Amino acid sequence: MFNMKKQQQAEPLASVVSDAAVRADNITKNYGEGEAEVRALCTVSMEVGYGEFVAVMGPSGSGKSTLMHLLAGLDRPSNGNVYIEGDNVTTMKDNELTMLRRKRVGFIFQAFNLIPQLTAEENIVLPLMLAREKANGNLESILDQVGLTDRRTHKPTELSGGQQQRVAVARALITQPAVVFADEPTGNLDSKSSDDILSLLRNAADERNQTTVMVTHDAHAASYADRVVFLADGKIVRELSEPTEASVLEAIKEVAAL
Amino acid sequence: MTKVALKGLGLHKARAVLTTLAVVIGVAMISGAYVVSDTMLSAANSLSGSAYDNTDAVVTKHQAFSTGSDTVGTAVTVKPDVLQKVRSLPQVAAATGDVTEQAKLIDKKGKVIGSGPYFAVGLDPVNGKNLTPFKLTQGHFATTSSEVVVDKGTADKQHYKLGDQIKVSAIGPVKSYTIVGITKWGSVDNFGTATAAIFTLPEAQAMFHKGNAYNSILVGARSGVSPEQLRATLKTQLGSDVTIQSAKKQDRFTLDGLTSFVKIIRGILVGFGMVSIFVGAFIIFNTLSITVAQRIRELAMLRTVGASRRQVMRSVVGEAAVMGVLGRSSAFCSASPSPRVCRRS
Repeated sequence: MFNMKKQQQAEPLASVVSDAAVRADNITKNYGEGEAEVRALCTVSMEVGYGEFVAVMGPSGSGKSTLMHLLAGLDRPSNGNVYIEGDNVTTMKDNELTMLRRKRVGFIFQAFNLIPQLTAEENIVLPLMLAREKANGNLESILDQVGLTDRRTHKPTELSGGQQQRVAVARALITQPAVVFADEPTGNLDSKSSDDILSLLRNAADERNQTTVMVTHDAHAASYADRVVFLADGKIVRELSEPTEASVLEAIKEVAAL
Repeated sequence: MTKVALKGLGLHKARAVLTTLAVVIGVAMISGAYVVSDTMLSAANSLSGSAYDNTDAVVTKHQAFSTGSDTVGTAVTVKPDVLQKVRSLPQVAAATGDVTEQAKLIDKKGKVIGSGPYFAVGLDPVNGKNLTPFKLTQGHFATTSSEVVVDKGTADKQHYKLGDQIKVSAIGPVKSYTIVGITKWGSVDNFGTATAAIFTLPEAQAMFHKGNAYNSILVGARSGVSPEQLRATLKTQLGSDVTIQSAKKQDRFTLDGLTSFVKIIRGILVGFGMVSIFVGAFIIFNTLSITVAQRIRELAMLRTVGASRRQVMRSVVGEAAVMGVLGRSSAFCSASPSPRVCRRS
């Protein structure tokens, strides 16, 4: 179901971790040069299994957004490699990355990032539009899933924040990507809307086996994930499986005390 | 992607409209300059085509040096005995003495009509009827010294009709004449800001102190005689005391000057147009830079959902192209005199 063919073709190294949708292999990211050099990530390795919903947490400046950008192929690591479904993202050319983003990766941002001049429906099918594909049968079920069937013709400015983010979630899911990256998806939302969005992501993981990586600093949001990865000073310092809000808060305290 | 770009235009209407306006102004200036000057030039050309139609040769007194065309009433004259001699030649169908000078027409409020040239012509209607470009549309040519014929353009513009009095200022004091005829310039109603007053030949001679002489003698060839043959014959018969030229070359209405004047005007107008295009280019460049800067988040987002570099580029270039084409078309329409030209663009 998950691109078995691709995995078989992948280089030998990847076969070791063929059960990973996303794999980071000793990645380092430096910004700036010389004395001004800042090490944002320091030899980080991690894996996200197929259908797994992983939350990445950490204080500001811990490198969690950097990690997400590297995993998603939005930025290149200074060292190390990133694999999505066994394909090395690090060495991809610009047009290969374009195809990767178009077909195999979905994004959800804190600021929704919808196109203001397009309707909700047009925003959702935008990745298909860019690929010059017809809206597939998924559209109706996804619209139904995010509860926007009656709002499909509305422009983003006519929607609430929660509704806009639901459009963004639908846009990320429409291409049935290998992995969805969510960068603080609830950062701009009230708690009710946040719960809606998090439930959507949780359901996608449960029902569609949707692999998801979510960056957040909200313990409540992290409790929806299967696993939480804690970053501090560019390193993974702790992991937590089957998190609850309480265990996440406790882990945050421990990490801060390190 | 095109849809995104086009709808983006709709979202920032003021910006799109103002940028388009910059294109419109620049293009309209240039095309307007060409439309105006081409209209004037084609009028000049059709006039110079018909102005000298039936005149195959012009006889003028040989001048040792040129006095220039600005001096009024100082041209060296041809004596009537030359005219007699020309008429006696078998190759000649018609010959007439001509006085073409400058005299200003004064309107009812005392102002000079037009801004020149102010043609004043002495015409002998009997012999010169086919040798003059002036074609009557109303009335008759002047027969007495107090009568005058004016061009249709001037008459229409100043609301003169047959029987009206009009004042004329030549070399001497201003004198009043009765309008007895309205005339066209060949097939053209009026020629720019030029005016024409046609008097009897003796009146023109008196007005410009010519005595019984003429500025030139206009000659029409008998049928079967080519203009070249006629001019060769005149040259041998009249000797070196006179100059024989084609009417176009002699150019008594200074149409060449008018044409080059129109060309200078065109140069100036196109120059202004170039300046506005130059300035417009900066405005457009600036606006598009700002557009891209404002849209940078949107463009980045498009990249993350799978737009290729080319698609993003196309959306920006497409937006510019739409504004450019719309601006160009409306500029042509606003600058062109007829809807036909507009549709063709």
